[in-house]
This record gives sequence, C-alpha cells and structure tokens, in this order.
Amino acid sequence: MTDVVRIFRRSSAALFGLGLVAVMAVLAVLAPWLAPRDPDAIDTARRLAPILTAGYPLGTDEFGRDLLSRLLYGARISLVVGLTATALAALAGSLCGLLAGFVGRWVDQLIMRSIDTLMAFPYFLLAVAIIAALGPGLVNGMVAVAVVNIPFYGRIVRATVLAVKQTEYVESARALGVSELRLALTHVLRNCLASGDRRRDPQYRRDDHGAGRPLLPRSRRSAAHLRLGQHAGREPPVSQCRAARGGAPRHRDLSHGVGLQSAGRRTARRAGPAASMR
Amino acid sequence: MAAVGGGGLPAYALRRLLLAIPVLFGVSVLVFAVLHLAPGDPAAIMLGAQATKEDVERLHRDLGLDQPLVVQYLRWMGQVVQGDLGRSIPLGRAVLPEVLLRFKATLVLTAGALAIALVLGLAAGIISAVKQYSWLDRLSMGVAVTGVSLPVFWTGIMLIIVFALQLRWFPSSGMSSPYGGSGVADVLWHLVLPAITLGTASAAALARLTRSSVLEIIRQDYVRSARAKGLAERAVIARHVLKNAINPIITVLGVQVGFLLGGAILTETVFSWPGLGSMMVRAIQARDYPLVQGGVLLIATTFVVVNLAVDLLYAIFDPRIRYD
Repeated sequence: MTDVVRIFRRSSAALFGLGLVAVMAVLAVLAPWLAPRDPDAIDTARRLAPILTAGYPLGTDEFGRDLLSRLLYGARISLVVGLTATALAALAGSLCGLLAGFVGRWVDQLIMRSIDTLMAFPYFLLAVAIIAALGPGLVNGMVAVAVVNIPFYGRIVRATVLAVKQTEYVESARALGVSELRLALTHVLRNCLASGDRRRDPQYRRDDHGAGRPLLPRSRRSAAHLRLGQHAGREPPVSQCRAARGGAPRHRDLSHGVGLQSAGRRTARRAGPAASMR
Repeated sequence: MAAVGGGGLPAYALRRLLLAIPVLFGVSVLVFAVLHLAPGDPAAIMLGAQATKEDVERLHRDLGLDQPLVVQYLRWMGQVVQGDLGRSIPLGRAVLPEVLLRFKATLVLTAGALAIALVLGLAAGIISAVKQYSWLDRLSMGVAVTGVSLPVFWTGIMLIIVFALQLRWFPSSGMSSPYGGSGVADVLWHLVLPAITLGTASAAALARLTRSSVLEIIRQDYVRSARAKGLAERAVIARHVLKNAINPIITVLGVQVGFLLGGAILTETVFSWPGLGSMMVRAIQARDYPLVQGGVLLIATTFVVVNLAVDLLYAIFDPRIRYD
C-alpha cells in the first residue's frame, strides 16, 4: 500500500489522473444532491435548449431532458461499469495467465489458444453478440466488456509468470517443500502483481493506459443504442454519460447508422420511447 | 517463438500457420455458439409478425435450421473448408462475394487509419524521446493521453460537425460522391475524416510506445559510442536508435490492426462507410447466421495473417533473430 502512495507521490501525472477520477467519483456519488433536476424528466417545450439556458446550465436534449443532470447520473453508471468490468477482466485474465504460465504444457496451449481466439474475434462484434445472447442489462453489459478485455490481462500475467518462475526464490521455496498451489498464489502471483512489469510482453505496452479502456467499449456500445434496460423495459430508464453525449447527433439522424439495437430490437420498438417517457 | 539458432523461416511460418488452425476453429465455434444460443429466430424475423407457425417451420426445414446444432455446425464447416461460406438467409445471395466486397471498404478504412497512426505516432514519439522533457515532449504526450481517452464516436461526430458541417472541407458520409466521383482522389477525400477518427487512438498509443522504446535505446552504450565517434545526431537516431527501437513497435502493429478492424465498426456506422462492420451489425439483428459467421471468420483470418506477417518482419529489422 505504501508503495502505491509513493508511486503516486512521485508522479505528478498520476496525481493529476487520480484527482480527475476522484472528482468524477465524488460528482457521481453526489449526483442526487448536485443534479438540478430529474435526469429523465421530459419537458417537450424546452427541447434542444442551448448551453447556458436559465435553469439548464448545459442545455437540454431532444426530449427536453436536462443534460447536466443526465451527465451527473450517467457518470455513476459509467464508473461502476468501468471499474467492475476492469476488475472482472483483471481477475479472470490474471487467473488464466497464472494457470497458463505456471502449469505450462497443454494447459498453457489450451488457455493461450483460447485467448488468441478471443483476440482474433472482432471485439465490438463479440460484445454485441454476447449482449445478444445474454440479453440487455447492466450486468450483462459488464460481463461483455470484461470478456472482451480478458486477453490483455491474461497475456501480461502469463509473460510475467514465466519470468518470475525462473527466479531463485521460487526455486528455493520449492526446495523447501512449499506446495505448488501456495507457490503459485503467494510466491509467483504476488510478485507478478507487484512488479507489474508489462514490458515483458511488448505487445501489451499499448495497454499501459490501463483501466480507462473498459470505460470506452462501454461508451462505444451504448453509442450503438444498446442502451441497456431502457430498451428492454425491464429496468428503470438509465442515463449514462454517453446517453447524454451521444444524444446530440441523434436528431441529425446520424445514429440511424449507429442503430445497432441488436438484442432488444423488437422490444425496443415496443418499449423504447415509452420507457423513456415514463 | 523466436530464438537465436539455425535458420528455417519457412518451417517457422508453416508451424505458425498450423497454430492458426485451432484459433480459427475456436473462432468458428465461438461465433456459431453465441449466435445460435442467442434468442431470436431468422425465419420468424424474415417472415414478420403475420407468419403462421407452419410457415416458420417450413422455412426452418428449407434453411436446415430444424437440425441439431452439431449437425448444423458440421454442415457449415464442411462448406467452409471447401471455400463456400454459405448463403445469406434473408438475402439469399452467396456470403463470400458479399463479405469480400464490404471487406474491401473496411480494409481501405483500416489502412488509412493505420497510415495516420503510423505517421503521427512515430513522429510524435521520436520527437518526444529525442527532446525529452521539452515543451514539445509534454505537448505531444499530453495530446497522446487525450487521444487515447477519446471515444471513437465522439471524435467522429466532432470532426463531422467542424469539418463537414461548418467548414465543408470534407464529406460527412459515404465512400464516394454520388455523381461521377469514383476515382482514387474521391475515395481519399471521403477517407480523411473516418481515418482520422479511427486512427487517433492508435496514433496516441503508438506515440507513447515509440517514446518509451526510443528512450530505452538512446541510453545504451553503443549510442554513446556512435556519438563519440562523431556521427551526426540525425544519423545516430536514424541508424542506431530507430533500427533497434522498431521491434516492439512492429509487435504492437499486429495488435493494432486487430484493434482497428474491430473498432472500424463504429467508425463505419458514424460515417456511413460501406464496410463490413455496418453490414455485420445488421446481420446480427436479422440473425443472419451465415453472413455473421463468414464475416467474423474473414476478420479473424486477417488478424491471424497480419500477426504472422508481423512476427516474420522481426527478422528483417533484427538480424539476430532466427526462427527455428
């Protein structure tokens, strides 16, 4: 833990990023008190109000809903999905990588070929297909984003495990009679996470922008009208950061092309606008 | 994978191609399973709400959808290994030519984005590394972080608003002008905004990687020796630093191509680019199994081939690497 504090203190960029995320988190948590109005309240008389309209600091969308309130409430969903999906992907990916790197042989082959398969699959289609199979909904959305991101963690952890496995302290622990499971979890995994030396797998250096990534697929997907819940009509209408951001072009009919209402297509027609009107 | 030792590039390439078989097999199983397990029935979607149960069942029989899933999968695979991707369910046309036609547009878009990513990313990365901690370094890395963080659809929409609607410099959608325009220049003109949209994130990622990779090399003893023997700085960077820093960048290119192919879908929908992605999304909605399966297989094959090519490129830039 102290290491984390030290790393953050040393880097002003890290501190800045942390501050930014903290501000977003605080705004999201305080949304019910900060938001000037109900994010889903419709006021057709005030459709598409420009920015800085009295009472609507950021203006309104095509249904006359307050954009500031929608952004604040949307940040909650974006943050929860981003963090949960990252945690899920990191957990599942690390386990796969640990198993592959530590056990080796056919287990390694099986896991790595599966990871290659996931990587070769166009990620956006994979997410859409998973949503189509599981049905729309916040949890399914998180699962989809997590699955798409598993390969990145899996490959990094495997590469690190392969390096750590060769070290003398692992060898001596094994000589002392430490069980393989304990060896894997305490000696190898912990040192992989601590060193976090992603550079061992240069393929994934691009991933050094870390946890922000899963937020984006989320927004990509929602941009695609996979507005979970809202279309299914199973859950109360939700606003996401993106719903507010993506709302603007819709009336220019841009989203006609973006209309990937894959899973809930027919339900959407039935429940979509109605659900928003509730 | 790559090790110092005896030669054998063809053998290595062959072994890698063989390794691609289980991966593509996995992709085919995954896409088949996800699609067929998803709720929704292509026959019912095709016939509409008025169709009777008998109509739907008859269409099921005609399409072979009444068979067990394993039989359907094996039948499809039997066609695929013969180079036939089947027929689209609602369109009734052969999948392969349809998919290839659309894939060409996607490739043009991906190539454009990759070119932009390479030019911007390499330039920004090299400059930042050579002038480390200068204002130029801080500026380009700041822009890079921003670029990585921007969602594709947002960048695309902003570019459309500014450069297509306000300034009217570039068209907002499509791949060619409706009247007369079909030449290369016309396609390039349409390509500018989508390629920038798709390439931004990759350019930013490449810039950061290039910077760290060059910085690692620039501190090596042999670079100091090169400077000490009186080589011009330009020659040191070009011949001694870049040649050694390029391998991790090439590695990432393979993954970036996959990232671009996967990300092209959104760019295509924002810009109404007639690529594979927008067609695939419509096909998923219609549960057009053969079309989606064929398209995914095509993209996955491209990804595998590109990554193989990337791995073979190492040897050109680093003669120490031998494949065995």
